[in-house]
Amino acid sequence: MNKILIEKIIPKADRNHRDNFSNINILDNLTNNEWLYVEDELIKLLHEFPEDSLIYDTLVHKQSTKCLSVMYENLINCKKEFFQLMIASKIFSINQDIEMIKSGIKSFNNFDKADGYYNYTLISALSLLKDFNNEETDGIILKFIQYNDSSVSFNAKRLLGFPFQ
Amino acid sequence: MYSGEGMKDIAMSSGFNVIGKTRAGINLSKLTNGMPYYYGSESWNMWARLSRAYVRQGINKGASFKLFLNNP
Repeated sequence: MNKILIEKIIPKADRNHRDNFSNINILDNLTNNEWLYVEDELIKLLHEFPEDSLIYDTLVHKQSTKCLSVMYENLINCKKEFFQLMIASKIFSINQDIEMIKSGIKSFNNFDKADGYYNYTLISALSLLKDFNNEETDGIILKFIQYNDSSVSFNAKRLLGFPFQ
Repeated sequence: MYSGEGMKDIAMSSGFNVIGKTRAGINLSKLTNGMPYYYGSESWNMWARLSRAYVRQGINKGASFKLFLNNP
């Protein structure tokens, strides 16, 4: 167990290393001892890279509770609404803290609609809202099924299980 | 087009062009070189925008796209 294992699970965060990357197979084949080592290393990485969604996704996949205090800390310190939503969603996926739903909705409502990438951000954001699996967040997604951007409306319908063309 | 682990290599080895090999993709690779790439990041959004433009332009020209999916 060493740094190489960590680099296989969380490769460098550039497109060359991350495009179409998945660590699920590696994670599902770790021994308990390996996971204990990896979990501690990932928690250190959460401190270092508080916006890296792959680290969060990895800890969620393994349903780590040891990481929660750092995730909460990162949420408090985070200044960007998208990443606030992402962190709240990931915390909720581990411990179902309903306060995270409120936090996530608040962050979503504060997104900058004038941002040139708003529509692209929305696509990921709607998926994060869906992870709350909640009536209120589903209601927000519902508002986007007739949105003027087809990629966004397509994803809103897909997430809610509506038929689409 | 591809989505999922290993699909980019399969698409390329099957003789298909992928966005990163287009002129715009090569330029964007240079522009985003070293930038963090995960959802929500600026680089992620820039690639999403280019992907969309790539498909739109292709469809407008009557092109068809082969989609390689792994665990969709």
